Amino acid sequence: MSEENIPKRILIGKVGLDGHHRGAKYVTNILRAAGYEVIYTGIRKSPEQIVASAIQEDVAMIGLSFLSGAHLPLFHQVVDLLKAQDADDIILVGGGVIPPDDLAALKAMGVAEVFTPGVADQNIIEKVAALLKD
Amino acid sequence: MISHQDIPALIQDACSEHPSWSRAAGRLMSIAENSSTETAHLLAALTNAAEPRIVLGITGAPGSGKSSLTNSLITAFRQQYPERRIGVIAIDPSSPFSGGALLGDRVRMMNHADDPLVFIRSSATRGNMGGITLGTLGVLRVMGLIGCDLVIIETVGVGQSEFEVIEIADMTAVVLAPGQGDTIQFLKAGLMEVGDLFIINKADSPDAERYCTEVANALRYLASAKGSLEIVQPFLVSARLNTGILQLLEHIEIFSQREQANWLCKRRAKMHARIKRVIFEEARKQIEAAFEAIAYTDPIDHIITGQSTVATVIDRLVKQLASQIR
Ligand SMILES: Nc1nc2c(ncn2[C@@H]2O[C@H](COP(=O)(O)OP(=O)(O)OP(=O)(O)O)[C@@H](O)[C@H]2O)c(=O)[nH]1
Ligand SMILES: [Mg+2]
Repeated sequence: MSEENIPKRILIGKVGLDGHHRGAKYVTNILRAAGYEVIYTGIRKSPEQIVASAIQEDVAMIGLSFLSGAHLPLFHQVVDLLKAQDADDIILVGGGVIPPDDLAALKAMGVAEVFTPGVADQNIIEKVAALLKD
Repeated sequence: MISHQDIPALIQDACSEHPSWSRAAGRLMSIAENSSTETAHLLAALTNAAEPRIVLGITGAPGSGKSSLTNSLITAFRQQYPERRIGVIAIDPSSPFSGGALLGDRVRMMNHADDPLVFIRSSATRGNMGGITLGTLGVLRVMGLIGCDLVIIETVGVGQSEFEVIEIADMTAVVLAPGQGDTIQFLKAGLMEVGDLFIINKADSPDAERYCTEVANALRYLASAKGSLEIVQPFLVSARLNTGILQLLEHIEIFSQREQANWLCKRRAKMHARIKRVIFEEARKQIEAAFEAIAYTDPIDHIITGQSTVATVIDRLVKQLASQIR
């Protein structure tokens, strides 16, 4: 297998207490169809579980989905945990219902992209590809 | 892209107490998965590194509960040996269309995700039929490096993987579940031959008992057909209710103690066979690429018009190919 067609690895998960996973599962499938190796962690995971998994799986990107409204502190914890383990080069993206006012705060924290409901599949694929281009 | 220049530093980091150790281990595993030449460097650098004490292969039909059972085994192992590390390599198929993969085994083991003594790595088959590659061997050696005592390799029991997992594991468990086809199918599928032990999962479901008896009969029949005196009894467990798991772990331990003396030389022989296979595969790829590159329409014309014979053309092409391969 030559280096250019080695699939990139992405972890998709959900932190926080709400139990919806449609968005995360949907994104998992479109990324897989676009040629990524996607590690799906399921719902209601702690930031510690997400970060440890991402590191063991050596993913290039973590995508976290939210509905609960607790996205700011949870993302913050993920960012801190990544830093503490020399893993802050892993790209972070978010998805779900996130109020527009919080977008700037998320970006300032180091979240590279936020996908809100209704964004087209093609748009997600293109943005992910652009972020993962080295 | 990481290269073999980084290997020594990553190895050092992976065995250190530094918080970045697991990052380094994950990186080394990627090197193993991504390139067979880099894996050769990695394996060379790890020649003297510790190896896992037990490598357990788990195979079986899709949905039989391999991941759930692995999860239960992790729990039992961590209870039984609180100070020991356990590793899991979970292999899932890549899509032949997109090359992507949904690596979904880990989701069943997420309770253990933040336990520093559990290391879980998901791997995609990436076009390799059986799913187990030289890369898997590299990942396994890194598991040894970071001190994993037991390593479980989960592979999906379709195609060829069950035959490949026995090449890399010390012992192989076949997981079966009621409602997954009759025992005749199971005999036909050749799963019998690969198993050192047989686990009937989903003991909580109503027809588990009956299914277990059927499998036990099939195993007895096969043993007598082979003239073997040793009768293998299937284990009836429930990953859901966590029943029979401690006994299973105990059995794995007893089996390993009985066989351990043989394992080390078996591992060497298996590694040798595997590396030879990879070299042949690599050579075949190179020959194919070279063959595409050389023009062979001319010589064919010559054969058709009677200017040269098939034998001389083949002879010349083989020489030409050989000169093209480094
Ligand atoms: N009733 C019952 N269901 C179980 C048990 N163990 C697993 N399952 C269910 O069986 C299904 C498949 O479980 P997995 O552990 O993902 O099976 P698997 O063999 O790893 O599946 P693949 O990796 O996709 O081949 C899930 O819905 C589990 O909840 C059990 O002991 N009892
Ligand atoms: Mg599984």
